[in-house]
Amino acid sequence: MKALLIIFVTGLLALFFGLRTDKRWVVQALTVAGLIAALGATYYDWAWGTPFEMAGMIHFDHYALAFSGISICATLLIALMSDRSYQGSEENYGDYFALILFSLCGAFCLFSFESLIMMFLGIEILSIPMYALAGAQKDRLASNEAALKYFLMGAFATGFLLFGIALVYGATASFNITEISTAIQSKGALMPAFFYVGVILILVGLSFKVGAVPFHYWSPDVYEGSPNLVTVFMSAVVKIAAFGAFFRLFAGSFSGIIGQWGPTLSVIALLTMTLGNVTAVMQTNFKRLMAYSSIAHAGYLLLGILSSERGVGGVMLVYLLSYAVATISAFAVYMALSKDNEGAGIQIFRVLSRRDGWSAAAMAVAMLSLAGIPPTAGFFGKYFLFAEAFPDYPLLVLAAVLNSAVSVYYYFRVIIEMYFAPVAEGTAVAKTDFGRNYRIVIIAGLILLLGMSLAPGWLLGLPV
Amino acid sequence: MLILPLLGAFVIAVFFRGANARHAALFTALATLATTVGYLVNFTADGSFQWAVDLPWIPQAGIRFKLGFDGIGMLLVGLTNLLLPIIVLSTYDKEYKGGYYALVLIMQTALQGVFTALDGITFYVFWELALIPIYFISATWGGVRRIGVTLKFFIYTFAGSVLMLLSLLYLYGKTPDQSFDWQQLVAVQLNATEAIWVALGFFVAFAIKMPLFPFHTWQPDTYTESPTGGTMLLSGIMLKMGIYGLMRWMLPLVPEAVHLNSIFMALAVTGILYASVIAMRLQDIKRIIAYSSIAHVGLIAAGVLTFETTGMQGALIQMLNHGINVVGLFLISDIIEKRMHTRRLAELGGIARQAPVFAVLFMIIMLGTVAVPFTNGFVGELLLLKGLYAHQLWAAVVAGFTIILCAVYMLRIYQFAMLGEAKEGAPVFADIRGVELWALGVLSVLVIVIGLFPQPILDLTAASVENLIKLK
Repeated sequence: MKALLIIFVTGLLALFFGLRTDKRWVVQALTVAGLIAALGATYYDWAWGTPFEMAGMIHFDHYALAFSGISICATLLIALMSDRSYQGSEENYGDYFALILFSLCGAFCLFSFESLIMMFLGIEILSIPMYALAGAQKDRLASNEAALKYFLMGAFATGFLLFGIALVYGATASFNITEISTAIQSKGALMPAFFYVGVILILVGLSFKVGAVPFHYWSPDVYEGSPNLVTVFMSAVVKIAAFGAFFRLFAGSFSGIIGQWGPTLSVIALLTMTLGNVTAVMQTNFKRLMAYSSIAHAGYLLLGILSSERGVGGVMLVYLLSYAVATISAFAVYMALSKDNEGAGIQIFRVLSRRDGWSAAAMAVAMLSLAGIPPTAGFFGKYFLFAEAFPDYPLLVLAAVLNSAVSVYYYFRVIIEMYFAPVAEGTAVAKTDFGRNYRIVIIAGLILLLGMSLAPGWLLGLPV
Repeated sequence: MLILPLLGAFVIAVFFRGANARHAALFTALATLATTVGYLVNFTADGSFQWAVDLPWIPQAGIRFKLGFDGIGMLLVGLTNLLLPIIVLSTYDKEYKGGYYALVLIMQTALQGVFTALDGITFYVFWELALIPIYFISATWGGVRRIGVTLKFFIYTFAGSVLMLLSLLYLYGKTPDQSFDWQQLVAVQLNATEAIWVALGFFVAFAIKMPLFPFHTWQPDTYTESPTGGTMLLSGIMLKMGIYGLMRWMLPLVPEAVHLNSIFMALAVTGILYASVIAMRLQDIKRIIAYSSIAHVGLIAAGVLTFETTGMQGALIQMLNHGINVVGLFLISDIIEKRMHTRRLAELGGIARQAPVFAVLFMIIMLGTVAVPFTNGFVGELLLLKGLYAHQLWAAVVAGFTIILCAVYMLRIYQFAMLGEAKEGAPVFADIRGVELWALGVLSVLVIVIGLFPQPILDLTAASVENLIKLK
């Protein structure tokens, strides 16, 4: 809870400082300081605090704190590289930091809700700043298109979600996830049919948010059109938030009736990972490639929701952290290379190994991690997830591992561009100038992705 | 012994540039070899796992970092560390940067890890770790078509490995206290249907790695396109990973599926014939050796699949021999290509007259490959065929063709390349000297020494093989 307050206040301050000063670094330093303070507060709550609880609405238990922790870390990395690369209009960089922080507040609500109302509010708090950010480049058509698409699709999703919540309330007379769970257990088969319709509608609403097939159509266009930094935030933090909520709700309330929604979600998961991977193979634009890759990862993560009756959030935590760090460090390299927000092809990475060895290595590790190849963090994320789902869904896991083999193809195209792409004889290869902040993020990503493999059980074993 | 090359790799990657890198790499490889010899002297061949390392890695998921040396592991680690200095030496005259040697040394660590791992996930991680450096080596320093070819290789083998991971996971789910420990996985009992699927998962992974017919389609291209050092790593050591996998992981873990072995064996011997026939018609020396490798590995795999002492022992010694011979052959093809700028048989000829030392060493290694008595190949193939004969007559008959057909295509290389008259306008073939002479010389000596005194090697592995057979 402390973290939520700190972030909110930092967001307000960023808004004011953004108006008062024209030095970007002031706002950025403020944001980074706020995020570090929030991280410290989260750690304090985890280690010494008592769980904060309020009126059956919010409950900051260990699950909420752990997910808050990783989303703060991800935001911190993104904030660090924000100084040069936010290419929205020049006046509003204060707004940019503020909106990112407000969106993060929404994410906290999604990790800690006890009531469906709070979940709904969290989704809205998370999304509305994102609609604004996606359209931050007012004079660019693609950015406007992204904002509009994102907003319309988001509104649809919200409609499904609200209708679902209403139906569930009608059947159980409660918004509280624990009470809903109790009602399911006590009534058992006597639940009215519209209750299950409600559950499926909530499932659809959340599937929109995580970008699962067939509700994914917005995501490639939105990823491509949004400013780069917003795209990273969307693919890292928003993904963590949406899955944090998805898991909390389905493990907390609906795991008892997995027989009703499990088959639907299995089909969605299968379609999501297959379509995401197969379509990604055909992409040449890097941002679209990452969009489809994030769809594919959503497909794998749905396996975690499916095995949520075991109730182990640690598996989701490891996967989401490794995915987020790899995505951020890949985007850090991409943003350092691309001068504008027009979607660039993967040729932008050509002979990076000779232009800047370390960032090429970091990019390669990020790609290996996303593909799930040991000994990177991504492998352990995938492994835990698949091992968790394997006893109940062996065929789905088989599909998932074959899909990861497919994904090697497009992740390696980036590596091939960096290391093996032919250059004409005698062409001088200019060194690329990476800013200091990018370099920090890139190296941090490299260390995290390799370091996690030394003791991957640490996160897994957290009591979440 | 495992850490040494990894350390060397980091030091080279960070500090060394240019020619110094290769000296440092050679030094690391020789130091590792010396350590290995030290271990070998102190090794007691009683089939137990020695110098075990057992650290908690991911205790929450029953995964430990567990390594240990028994006779089989020791033999293969010995092979790895024996070939590594030669592989480093073979690139001494090339303009490779530090990165190349760093990758080769990382590969060495990973390979040793594979051959000693006693925990499912440790094994899997090392198994994949070996794939990354070889991919980078081949795709960076390989031939013209390298990019597509190596990507195919990577995806193909990766797809196989994840199936193996699923098999391991399934067995893991069946262990009483959720562990990946080798002993515990061995103890798992499966029913017939489960056993078939689990065994298939393992088999596909290992068959792709070796490769066995019909999973071999990546192999000739990858071998041909890789730089010689990469090809040596792939054929000399990496394909042993697949055979080793059969031996240590598939057969002992799912003995319930032993009835599938005849099908697998049929594939293996089909591969022998298929590859030999193709090898007889080819022009490119490197490609001929690649196909000959498929043929030989088929015979070794068939020997392992008998799951009996003679076959297994023959396979083990033949793994060592094949490593030595095939590295020698690829080195020879590299030497020829360097001097003549072609690998096509039709454009070669008359080398023996210009380079007598080279001709003698080539002859020795070739005879080893053809399995002439008193060379190393003879011991291995004799044991393998004997094992196969006792197990399944038809397999032995078909496999027997390896020796005859192998003689045909190897002698064909020798005849076209070495004998006859030099072609018009071909460059003069300078005889080998310096590092080339050292590398080939050591290999040729090994061919003869192992051919004359195979017993110590058989003793080294005997007890461990007996232990595995008991698990049938």
